[in-house]
Amino acid sequence: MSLFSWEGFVALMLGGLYGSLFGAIPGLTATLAVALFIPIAFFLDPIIALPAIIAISSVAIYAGDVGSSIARIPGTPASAAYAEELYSLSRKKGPVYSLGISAMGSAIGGIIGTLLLIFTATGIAKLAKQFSSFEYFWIAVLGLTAGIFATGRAPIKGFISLLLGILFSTVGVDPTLGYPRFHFENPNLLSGLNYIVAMIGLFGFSEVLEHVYRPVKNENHTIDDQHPTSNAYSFFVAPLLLLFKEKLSVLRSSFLGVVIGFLPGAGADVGSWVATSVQKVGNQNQEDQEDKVIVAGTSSNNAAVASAWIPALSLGLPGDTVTAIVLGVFLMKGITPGPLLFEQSMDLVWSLFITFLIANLVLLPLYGYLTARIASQIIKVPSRILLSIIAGLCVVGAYAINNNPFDIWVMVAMGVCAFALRRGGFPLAQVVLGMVLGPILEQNFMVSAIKSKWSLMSFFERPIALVLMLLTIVIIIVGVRFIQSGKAHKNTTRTS
Amino acid sequence: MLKRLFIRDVLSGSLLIVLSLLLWVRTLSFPELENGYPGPALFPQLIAFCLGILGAYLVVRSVASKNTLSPSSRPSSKGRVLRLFTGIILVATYPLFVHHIHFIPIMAGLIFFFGIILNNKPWKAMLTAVLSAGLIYALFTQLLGVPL
Repeated sequence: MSLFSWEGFVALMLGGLYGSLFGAIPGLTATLAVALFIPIAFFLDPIIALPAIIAISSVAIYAGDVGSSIARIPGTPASAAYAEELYSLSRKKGPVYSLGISAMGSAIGGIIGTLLLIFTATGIAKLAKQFSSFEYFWIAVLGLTAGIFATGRAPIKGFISLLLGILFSTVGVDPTLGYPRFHFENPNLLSGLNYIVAMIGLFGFSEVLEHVYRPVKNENHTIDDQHPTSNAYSFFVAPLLLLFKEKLSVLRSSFLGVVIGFLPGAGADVGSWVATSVQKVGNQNQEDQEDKVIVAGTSSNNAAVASAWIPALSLGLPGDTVTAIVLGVFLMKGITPGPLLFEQSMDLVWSLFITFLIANLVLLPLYGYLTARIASQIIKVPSRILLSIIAGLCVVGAYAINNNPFDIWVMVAMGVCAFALRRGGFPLAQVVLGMVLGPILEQNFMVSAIKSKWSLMSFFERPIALVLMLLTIVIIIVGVRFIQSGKAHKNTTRTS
Repeated sequence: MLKRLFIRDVLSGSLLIVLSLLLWVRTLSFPELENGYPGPALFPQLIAFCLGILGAYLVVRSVASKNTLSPSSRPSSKGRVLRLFTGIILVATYPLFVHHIHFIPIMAGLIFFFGIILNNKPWKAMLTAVLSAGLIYALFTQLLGVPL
């Protein structure tokens, strides 16, 4: 089976459609779309399943803007960064134009991210061959540190979420020493918590619980009667002219998206927030900058979607929650991500690269134009109907992975835990990051420590390890300064 | 809003301290490596230590901000909590029946009851439940060949 078969074509088209519907529905995220797709992906050939995931995530990130544009309800956390501007511009110039900027900005940002993915992933993979347990330990530390500061101005809560994720990863047999931990005499827990099941609970079931606890009172959203029309000029040409005019902003935002997406634990959400913040800070004195902010946000988030795959493919580390799930799919299919992937499964790697280009060149404009109408209709379907179906899908998704009813209890437990974390204002993405990076951190620390007979200085002696440690320190310094500048800005605003 | 955050932080911090203590106690039974080097307990103990410290920090920070419970910090209504527990119990009991009842009625029942606790009208919830359960069953068993 290949990507260029009719099955591949159908998978891409359906994946794009599925992603666009999920992204457009408020409260449903690209991560949830991918998480609910896993039971299906499990039974598909990886050549088909992985491109479908790319199509889902790329289009879902764009489609998150449809809800923002029509009803000021962002479909994804990434689109929340510029939801206000998108809504305002839709009111002034119509949703076709505003969604056109979003789709074209996403496409160009995505292409830039993909080109970087193509040209740098192999290089990183070669470099990764020189990595030993010491370097992998520092990479995990780097990713976890970036994850803490990626939470923005609440790093303490991000850190707590991260620790909880690492704690969940310690359930089961210790990978280094073989000792069973926190299994409570239950054989189902000996192999640890399946993190796909955990993620369905964390993102899907907690969303249902959130709405059960706090039902939407009035579902008659203020939807403008002016739906996207078949105005090709407004959707394609005018936005492209604007993007050409704002090329520096597009390049800067895409670059920011790539850099942030590359860091394990950051991803499109953070990339989008940072790029729009930079755009807003740089243009504080300009009026009517909505279109520029949208350009910055959309080009950054889709660039980050692509670059998040760089560490996932070359190092086996997730750049965001979607790639965290993708790593799970790799393992389910018996594929080990990392340097060897580029030697043993080059056909798979190239099919992923090509899919990114197709997703950004074809699927985004196509679905941007065609599904804007469908998505805007779905927004009108009461969320309480959709959520009851999602509750069922969460159960089926958790059960179908291993055909083990115990996994449903794991999913419920994770959903309840995520619900409590949400109520306490703790981020969820960091839990996933902790679950994914926790075993890498622990295993490589223990292996390195035992190898060096517990001489901890050996962690600082290898050049690449030292560079990674310095990068970690830089992230800490930049993160702390960012928080301090935020506090100072807050105080100045209060005083004025 | 800030005051509500205060209550949440005190509660979250206290829970984290309790969790860290339980975790620490649990790890005491884990074996050590030869020559007294730390074994499988090392990471869980480090996590417990950090969670305890951060939990205490959340409590102290909230108390130091001298906020008190305001009238706006309304407690959760009984109805909400009841709905929440009903939702959790609905899904948590699903595995008990999964091998005894056919997938379509049990899944339709689950979606129907979720529809009800999400304030849907009974006929809408029923229609949604039957259609979705049928579709999910068809997708998984017929299209993908996954037994449910």
